[in-house]
This record gives sequence, C-alpha cells and structure tokens, in this order.
Amino acid sequence: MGTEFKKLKKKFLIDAIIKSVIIGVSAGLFAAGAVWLGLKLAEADINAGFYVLIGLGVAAAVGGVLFFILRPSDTKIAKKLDRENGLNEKIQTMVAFSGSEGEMLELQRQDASEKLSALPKSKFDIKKLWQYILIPVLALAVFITAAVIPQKKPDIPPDIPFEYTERHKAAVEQLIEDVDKTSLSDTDKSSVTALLRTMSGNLEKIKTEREMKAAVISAVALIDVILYTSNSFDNVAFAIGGDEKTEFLSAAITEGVLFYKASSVTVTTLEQVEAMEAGLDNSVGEKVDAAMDVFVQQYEISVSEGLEDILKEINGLMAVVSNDKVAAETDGLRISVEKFYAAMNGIAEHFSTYDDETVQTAIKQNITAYKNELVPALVPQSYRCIADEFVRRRTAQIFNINASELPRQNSGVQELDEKSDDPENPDGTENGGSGKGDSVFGSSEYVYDPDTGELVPYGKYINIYYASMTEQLLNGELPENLKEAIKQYFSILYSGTEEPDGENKEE
Amino acid sequence: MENIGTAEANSATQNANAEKVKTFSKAVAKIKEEIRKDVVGQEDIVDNVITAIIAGGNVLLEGVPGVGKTRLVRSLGRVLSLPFSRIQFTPDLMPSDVTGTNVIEKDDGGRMKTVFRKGPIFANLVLADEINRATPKTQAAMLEVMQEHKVTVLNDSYKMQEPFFVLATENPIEQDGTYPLPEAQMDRFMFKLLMQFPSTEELVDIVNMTQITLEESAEAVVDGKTILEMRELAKQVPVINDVMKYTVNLISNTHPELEHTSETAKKYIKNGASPRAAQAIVTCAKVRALMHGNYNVSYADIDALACPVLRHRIKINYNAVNDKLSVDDVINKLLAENKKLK
Repeated sequence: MGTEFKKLKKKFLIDAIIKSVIIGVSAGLFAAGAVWLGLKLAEADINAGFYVLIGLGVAAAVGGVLFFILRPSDTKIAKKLDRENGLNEKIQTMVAFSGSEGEMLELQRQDASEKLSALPKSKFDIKKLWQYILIPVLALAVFITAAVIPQKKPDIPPDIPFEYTERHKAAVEQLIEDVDKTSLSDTDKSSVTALLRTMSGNLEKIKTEREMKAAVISAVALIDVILYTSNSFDNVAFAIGGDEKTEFLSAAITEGVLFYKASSVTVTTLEQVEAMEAGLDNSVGEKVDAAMDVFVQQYEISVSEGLEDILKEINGLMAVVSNDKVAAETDGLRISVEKFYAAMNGIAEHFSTYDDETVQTAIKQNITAYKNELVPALVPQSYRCIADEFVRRRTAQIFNINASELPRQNSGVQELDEKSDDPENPDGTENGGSGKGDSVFGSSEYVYDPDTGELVPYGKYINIYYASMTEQLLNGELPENLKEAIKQYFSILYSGTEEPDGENKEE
Repeated sequence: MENIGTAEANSATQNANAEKVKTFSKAVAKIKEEIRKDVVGQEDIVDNVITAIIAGGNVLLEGVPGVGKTRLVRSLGRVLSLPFSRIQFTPDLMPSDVTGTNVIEKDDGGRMKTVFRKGPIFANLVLADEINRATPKTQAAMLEVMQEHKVTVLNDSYKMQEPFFVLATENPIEQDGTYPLPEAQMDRFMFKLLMQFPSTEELVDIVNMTQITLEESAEAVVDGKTILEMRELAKQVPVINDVMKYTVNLISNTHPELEHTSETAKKYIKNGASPRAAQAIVTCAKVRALMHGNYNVSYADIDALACPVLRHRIKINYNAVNDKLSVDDVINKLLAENKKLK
C-alpha cells in the first residue's frame, strides 16, 4: 500500500484516539457528576474515592468501546476516503487487491495513489468540531454542578439541651441502692452497680438529650448482657430442645424464665420486685408443670408400643447437657437435667426387667423429682430477668425514655411480647433487639459525633459510649466468663456497626 | 542470456499492455468522435453500443423509424473496420435467408457439387431490423447465431468471425403482425436501448448534415483485432467484493418470490432478471470503467448500466401499470433501495 495511504491511516488513527479520549473523559465526568449530584439530592454520601473510581471506570469503558468502534481498519479508511472525495471505489480497490499482482492492478494502484496524493492535505471541518467541544463542556457542567451544590443534610429536629441534675443523680443513686438490696448474686450486683455508676459519671459531661439517650441505652444494654449471660437457661434449653420429642422439655425451662423478660413485666420499684420474688416459686412451678404435662404424654404408651425406644431416644437427646460449653458443671439447671437424665437412663438400662406398670410409675416418679429440682434452679434465673426489667424500666423512668427503646437480649422474648398488654408496647414488638448496633436502637435517632460535632445515626457511634463503660467494667473485678461474654457481645455488636476509631476498638 | 532475453521480452509485453490499458479510453474517445460525424446526438446509445461491442454482447434497440439505427451500425462498421450487413426481417423471411443455405452448383469440371452460400449473418456487425416481424423459427435461427457465434446447416458448423455483434431493432409502434420475442431469448441481449426522437437542435443538425450528403463520413480508427484486445483487457479490471455484492443484491431484489427481496419487487415486479443479468452488468461495468479512464469497477458503473441491462429482463405487473410506472421507473426504485449497501 502506498505511502500516502499509510500517512492517512496514521491520521485516522490519531483522530480515533482523540475522539475516544474526549468522549471517554466526558462520559467519565458526566457519570461521576451525575452520581454525585444524585447522591447529594438524595441526602446520601459516599467516599470521594468512589466518584473518582466511577469516573475513571466509565471513562475507560466508554473510551475503550468507542475506540474499538472507531479504530480505523484499512477497509474503513478506504471507504471513508472514497466516499468523502468521490473517488469511485479506487482506494477500496487498491486496499482489497493490495497483495495481488497484475498489470491492471498495478495501474489501478498507481491511479489510486495519484488521487490520494492530489487530495487536499487537511480538511478542517468546523461543523464536526463543535460536537467535540460541546460534549466535554456539558459533561464538565454536570460535574461542576454536582461539586458546587451543597450536600443536603437530613432534616434533623433540633437537639434539646440536657442537664444531669441533682434529681437525676439522686434517682440513679437510689436505683443503685435498690439494686444492692435485691436478691441478685454479689457478682451480678457489683457488675450492675458499676455500670450504673459509670453511666452516671458519663452523664455529668453530656449536654444534649441525644447524648444522654445514647449513654443510658448503652448502659442498660450492657446490664442486660451481663445478667443474661449469667443465666444458663437459654443454652441448656437450646442444647436439649433440638428435637420435637424434647421440645416441651426445653419449653419447661425457657417459659419459666422468659416470661420475666417480657414487656408485660412492669416492675419499677423494689417493692414490686420483692412482690414478684415472693410468688416466684409458684409462678415458675406453674409454667414448668404446664410444659412437663405435655412432655410426659410421650411416655404414656406400652412397652409393646415402643416405650423403650422413646425412652432411649429422649435420653440420648438429654445427654448433650453434660458439656461445659452448655453450662458450668456447678450450674443448678445443668445438675437438675443431668439428674433427670441419669434417673431415666436407669430405667432404660433395666427396662427388660420391668413390666409396663412399673416402668410408668418409675417414669412419673422421676418426672416429679425433676420438677422439684428444676423449679429451684430456674427461680434465681427468673429473678435475674425481673431485676433486669426493673433496672430497664426504672432507668427509662428516671430519664423519661420510652422503655421499648431500651434493648434486651431476644431469645424468644419477641413472641411473648406479641402477646403482652403493655401500654408502652402495644404492638409487643418494639423490644429493641440486641447484637447489632443499629438494631439495638431500632430508630432513626441521631447523636453528636464527639470528634466532629456532626449529627450521625446511633448505630454509627453507640460503640463510643459502650467503649467507655466497657473499659471500666473490664478493668474492674468481674468473673472471667462475664468478661468473656461482654467481649463476645461486642464482637457481635461491631459486626453490625462501623468500627470505632482508636481507643474504642474491641479488645 | 536466454533468460535475460525472455525477461526482457516479458517486460516489453507488459509495458505494451500497460500502454494499451492507458490508451483504452483514448481509443474509445476516437471511436465516438468519428461516429459523431455521422450520428447526431444519441450519446448514451453510442456509449452503450460501443460498450456492448467491446464486452462481446448484443444489443436490442427500440426506436421509431428514422432515428438513425441503421446509420449508427453502418458508421460503427466503418470506424471499427468491420464488415457490416443489414437484415430486414419480414414475416416471410426464412431461417436460411438469414444463415445461408447449401446450393447445388456445377464446378469447373462440370460436376454438380453442394456449396454453402453464406447468408447475410456472416458479417462482424449485423443489423437485424425489426426482428419482431420475423416468425419465431427465423428468430430462433438468428438468436442461435447470437448465442453460439456459429451457424449449423445440415450438420456443418460455420463459426462467425470475431468480433461478432448483432444490433437488433424492434419497432414499438407496429404491433400488428409481430411476434414478440420470448423472455428466454430477450435474455440473450446484453442491453436494450431506447432510441429517443432527436431534440429540436439535434434535428436541425441532422437535416443540415444530410442536405450535404447521405453518405457516412466516419473513418476507421481501430480494427477488429483491437476490439478483441480491448475485450481481453477489460476482463482484467478488478471488482471489489462490496461492489459485487451490490450488483448481486440488485439482481436478487428483482425477484418478488424471494424471502428477503425488495419492497419494490414485491409490489411492482412479476418476473425478475436471470443470473445472465448479473454477468452482463459486471462485464459491461468493467468496459465502462476503462472507457472512463478508471481501472476499477465502481458503484456508479453498476448504476449506469442497470437500466440497459434490466429493462428487457424484468416484467412489471399491473400495479406498476396502475401507478403509471415504466420499467425504468421500477429499476430506479430498485437502485434507490439498494443504495444502503454502498
């Protein structure tokens, strides 16, 4: 192919590159600007690096695709030259037959080359130039518009100033005193009171309602974790309740306790706590009886109907309770289940020597014995739940917070709450939840970021308040398993929120 | 030494051929210039007739009497230094009147022998006047010669001398007593040309010219051998695939029965053109390209030859008649639809 054609080909290539770059960059600017503008108008925001990435990505993609389309092949160039200069397919013929020999072809090539040489050197088409000016200008306009438009802030109602008054302080002190007077274990008492004192200390520095709520909610959440973790009913019930045959054996454990975590338990005074404590034996006993009455029906079949198999199957399901991961060896609940298991196992081992009536009698005796062990094991755990509710509700009262905003560990409480008559929680579903920072609060409330002074959602900064209390708590005298439980709690919490910066990171 | 000599001879041959290619258009220009001395106007007709001669095809000419058909062919004969003959077709003309026949003669020794007397067809340029007046049998004999370039009489074949060219005429106004040529035989004509009545200025020139003399004054500028060489040269003109596809698509689009045919064909055409049309267009386009000083076939060449090649090969239907469209109008519509392939 002639020199002239090669020169023109180079010119077309440069032209294609320039066009691709201009359009690609324009597309990138437009895309970044459009996304930025859209997010600003939607009151959302992302890291500035993403806009750069979007812009670069779109620029590369559009520029690349455009170059792929525009890239000049010999045939394309030939067609364009013939069409624009009225050369009657001379150049296309020259290109198509470039590798062939022949007199006529040689003459054709010479003729085509002469025509190419005679073409005007450069044609500056001003009509087409405007496209390559207008497009980048438009794109730049979109980008600049996005840049200058101020970020729309969420319409947050003004925060109300807060003062931690003497009245508040006294009320918290009173609460601490009342907690000391409860029948909680010393370890539980010291943990709860420590947390309440830390909360009080934090509140002295707080100036707004939102900050106050954050501090109170985080304290209550931690108290809930500590008291909940001290209970073993959830682990034990979960361990043995995996099968429909032991479903009611598990229910006998949980229903006796969870009732006292529900919103229907509206204790706000020590007297109310003591009143509930007085009737706890009977109350827990009733719930245990109700579930066990259903459980025992499975044994009401004859030997020939498969009683031995049922016995052995249920025993197998109960055996899992003997595991330190389920509960400590000294845990009363674990001990009661183990005793029941051992007794039922005794029947199973000597099954062949018993007749129907003897077996049934032995089973009933064991169940009665189990219930007598179970209720005393569950009562202190139920009491912890009552105390937990007491602290939640009293704290809500002191600071005029809706109790449903204060979190608690779930574990079946939601189902119970749905049946509650609590006027503060008519739907029975706003129990605050647990585990994840933003669902702990379940609302769109905002707090001030102490670093920037800007308003941000709770979920983002609750850990700041958690962290200050946890630090003091973990540095205090607490059993190791409680410290471990708190650490585990935070690991779940942080998985649902942004990690804090610096000292607030989980240990 | 021998190799060098051969190489030099080859080089000399190549240079001579290259010169001939370069002078092709000059030769044609000279032919046209001479013909213009005898034929006034009809530039397109002259161009197309010369194209057909060089391409090796035959031409069907339609025009009223007195527009110069015979004069054109006679003038061509003089310019190309080729023997010319004219056959006036009438209903009583027999095939042997055209091709010739065997006659019995006495030789010098007094013995009777059969001698083949050549008919008027035995010329390089033949004007077959009013071919549609002859009977189908006589037409067939004529058309066989046009196709085969030979005459067969009683198992003896007589080849025509190349270049052999037939220009047949049809008189459009005398339809009574005529035998229209069937499509299969129309297909053997490379072109159908419409000779128009001359314009006023041209008529003035004709009258003035013929007042002086009725004799043709054109002079010979090429010979038959040159025409044959030009024919061979034209075959070498390259055609790119896109132009070939364009041509093939044009012919396919004349067929209404095809699935992906043109809207024009579906609406206005009853019968489409045969593959001979594609062959004819490309062959003639090569000649036309060289005539215009180009060394490749272009879309313009194909477009220019579409009407002459196709007008006698496609049959329009009643819709076209109803819409007052001529065959040429339909062909122009096809060209417009085909344009998107350029």
